[in-house]
Amino acid sequence: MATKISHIIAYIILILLAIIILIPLAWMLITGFKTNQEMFLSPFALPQEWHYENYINAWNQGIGTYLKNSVIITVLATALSTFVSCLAAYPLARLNFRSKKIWVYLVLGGLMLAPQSSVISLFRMVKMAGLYDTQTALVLIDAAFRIPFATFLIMTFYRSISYSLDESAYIDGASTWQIFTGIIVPLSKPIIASCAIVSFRAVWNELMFANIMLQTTSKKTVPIGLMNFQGMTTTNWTLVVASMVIASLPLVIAFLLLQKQFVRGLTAGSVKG
Amino acid sequence: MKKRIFALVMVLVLVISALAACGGGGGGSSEDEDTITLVFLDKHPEDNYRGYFEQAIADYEAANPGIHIEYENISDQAIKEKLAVLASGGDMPDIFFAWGGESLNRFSRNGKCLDLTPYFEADPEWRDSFMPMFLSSSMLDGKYYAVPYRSSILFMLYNKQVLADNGIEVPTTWEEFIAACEKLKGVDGVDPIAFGNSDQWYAMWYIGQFNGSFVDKAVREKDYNPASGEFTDPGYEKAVQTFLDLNANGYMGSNVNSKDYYQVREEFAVGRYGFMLDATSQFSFYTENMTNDGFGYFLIPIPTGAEGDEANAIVTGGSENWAVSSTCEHPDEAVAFLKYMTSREQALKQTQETGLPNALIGGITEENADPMVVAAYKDAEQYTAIAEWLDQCVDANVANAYMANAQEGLDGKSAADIMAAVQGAAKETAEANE
Amino acid sequence: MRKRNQKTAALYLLPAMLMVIVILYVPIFINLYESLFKWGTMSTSHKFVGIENYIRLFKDEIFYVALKNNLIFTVMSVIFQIGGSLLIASVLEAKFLRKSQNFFRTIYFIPSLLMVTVVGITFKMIVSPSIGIINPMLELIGIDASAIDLLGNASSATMTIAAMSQWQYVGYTVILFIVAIQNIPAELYEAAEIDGAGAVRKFFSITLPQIKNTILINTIITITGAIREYDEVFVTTNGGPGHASETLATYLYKVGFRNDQMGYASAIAFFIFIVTFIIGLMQMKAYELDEK
Repeated sequence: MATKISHIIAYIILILLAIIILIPLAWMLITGFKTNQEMFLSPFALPQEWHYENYINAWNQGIGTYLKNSVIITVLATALSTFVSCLAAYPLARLNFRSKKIWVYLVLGGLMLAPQSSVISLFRMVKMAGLYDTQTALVLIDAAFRIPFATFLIMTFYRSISYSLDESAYIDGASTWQIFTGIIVPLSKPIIASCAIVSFRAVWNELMFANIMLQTTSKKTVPIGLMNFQGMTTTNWTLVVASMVIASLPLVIAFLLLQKQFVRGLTAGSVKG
Repeated sequence: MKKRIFALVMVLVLVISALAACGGGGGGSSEDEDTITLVFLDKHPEDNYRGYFEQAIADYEAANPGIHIEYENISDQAIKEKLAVLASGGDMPDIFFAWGGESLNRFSRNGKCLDLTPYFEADPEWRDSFMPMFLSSSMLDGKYYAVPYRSSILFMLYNKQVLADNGIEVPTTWEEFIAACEKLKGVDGVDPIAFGNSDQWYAMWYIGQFNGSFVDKAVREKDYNPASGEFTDPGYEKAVQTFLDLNANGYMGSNVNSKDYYQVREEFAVGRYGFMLDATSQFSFYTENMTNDGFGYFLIPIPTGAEGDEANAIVTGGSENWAVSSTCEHPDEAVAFLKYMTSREQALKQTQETGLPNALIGGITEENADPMVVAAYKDAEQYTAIAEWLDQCVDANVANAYMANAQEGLDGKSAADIMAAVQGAAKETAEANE
Repeated sequence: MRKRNQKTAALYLLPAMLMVIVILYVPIFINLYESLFKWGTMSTSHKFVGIENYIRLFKDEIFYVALKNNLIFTVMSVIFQIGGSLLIASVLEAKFLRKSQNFFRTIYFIPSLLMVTVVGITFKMIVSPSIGIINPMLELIGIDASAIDLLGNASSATMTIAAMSQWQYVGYTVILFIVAIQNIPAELYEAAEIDGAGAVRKFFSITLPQIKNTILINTIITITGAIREYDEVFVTTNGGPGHASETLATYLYKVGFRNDQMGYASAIAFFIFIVTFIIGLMQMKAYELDEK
């Protein structure tokens, strides 16, 4: 009996929590279809008429461009950081060489650096390099800040692969490159995918560098675009809400479809992006 | 084998540089060489404004095939930060927006703006077409650094219905204004003054105006200059106090720090408030939403005890300007474009289509502007002095101290503490500018 | 052999290390150097002032406000994203909930997929006294909400943003803990059950010790995140009202990019670096621990 009651209590608490999580989400979804007046005069009611045009207007206002930019930047930065991390992790995990320890510490040290502490210097460096207001700068920076974690994660995995595999390949006369591409990488696909997911999410959300390094509206990413959009539409709140729903859908849908991979990716190093 | 890794690295470098090309596309001068591209940073992205500006630019491009204007249009709030960030790397946009006063002066002083004086001398007619009080706000050390395209003056607006419903006459003095506020305070569903300060700048309209009332001209001029600012005159504290009292006495309703200007003006339009401080450049909003019968305006009453030497003569207002970067590679073309944008034809059109008053002498008439705006400009003639927007006419550091602390003031911080913080910021700025 | 390896290793390492050194490390040193000067991007003067910027930092009231707010974020995050999540995760792992676990954890996880901008703007609207739903809801249950302005009042702004951050990330750490708990050998629990251990005792004697490292690592990451706190504040209040909800990172941004006091901003940046570095050292220790 006592366990029964505690089960019910547990359920109630979990459901309450779910409601707290869902209220803002539901509010977003519904408000996106409302008019401004409805939004604050009857905040809890469903819209009298479903204004699908909010979504169309939001799209036409340029949220599409921002999404495109975000996708380009995120995909490139993720690909770049994952690729170079795969390469770098290999010697760190599986080759013996003199200065190895230094490089391992360099990678791990990178985990400790807060982007905020380098933002001013980076801003000037980007300016000097003539990369200010280019998506290249953002891709490079976002990618670089993902490398330490990705390298660390992949390196840990590489180490877990049996050494007898590459030793026998080595005896057969394979080069390190052949071992790398033929044995190590294929075996590490899951961790590489996980890594890519973690990086993708981090870059997708990145706000500070995007805010500082980009100037031209047509180059901006969704997080910044939404901020701009909010300033632009002044009091057209429901339009802003609609654009936020559009901006959120890709990742939410991707998650619902690829839940397993997502969870594995995020828990791989039990680390938050 | 090593070659292959090397090849891979090369591929990577190529990918990055390809990226650079695509990322930089549009910003560079990669188009054909005969086309001159001018980057133009402006701040009218709102639906009801940007149409006109985009059309005017398109028309210009059509008439001048060799010129391409790259129009960057960002919000009011965004451009404030952008201007501050922009100046740092030496590559200003070819043409850029700036308010008058220190907002522009900081660029002029550091050689970031093209000196337009020679162009004005070559074409005095162009120079003389602007209202002098607006043109002068872009002057530094006797040189012109920008052209005004939009002008604005503050008035106190009132909702005719709300005042009529409560038997209130249009106030003419501060006492009458306060009495009216007291009366409206007791009315259900109505608050006296529409005010929202989540963006921080709206408070600066009040404080800037009151500074003009309470502080002598010479003192203000000294203090607004970044090199000599002190803000120790007791008038500044009185000005802040006068503003804070409006809130403390409950005239502004509740929760002013989480509402913003755009929100409260909509509420003002539907009769939630009696009064609203606003600028002529925004009158078109009220005409559209309330019609001319719905709202009226009156000169901002002079606070009791205001002893500044210009108290009776000063109003807050100013121009919005376009400046040309000193590093612009095609200054002549940029100036020619600005001449077009500020030509009588375009200026009249601008006012007519967007409701944004231009800055030309005789540029606001019954034909292109709303009668209310025309009348307001006529009434403004009794003012002889103009106070630039406070958040723009002082150094950014001082302005930010003013804004952040005024926001805290609405949450309980005292006027004395607010001014102490402003004085601290002014001192810092003065030391940095020595 | 070794020599050959050295060269080969260098080739593999080159791209990543180049990026890490140039983009991550070099700016830190430039930053340290620049923090010893008084300079702005607008002015041409670049005056050496020694540690003056640091002295100023420790005399700056706003710095302490920011520090306090970072601490609030840290404490809130640890309580909810570690303590709370751990509790939820272990409840969800209880046998009677296995079937509905997926449902709950999916819902809990969704907010962490949204961008901070989206969450920030949404909350800004929801808690707004004039257009939101929180105040009307309070009125519905009979609370006078006329003086409640969650983001507009200095007294509640920081807590509101911190609460928003919990809303977004609790579900995230719940999943991390669930996976960790799932990795605990089932025999341990079975043995405990034979001994007659209840749910609470199992939690303390098996779950906690078994996932100790996951907890440690996540605690450190949560703390580091709270010290770097920027996005949520930037989107909602931008540090306001006044400086009430300022964090070190938003203050750094304002001082540097708005007030153009780059030297001083560099000093703040270096302070953040020192703090995160120290915590990072602990993180490294934790990872080493994890590997053993």
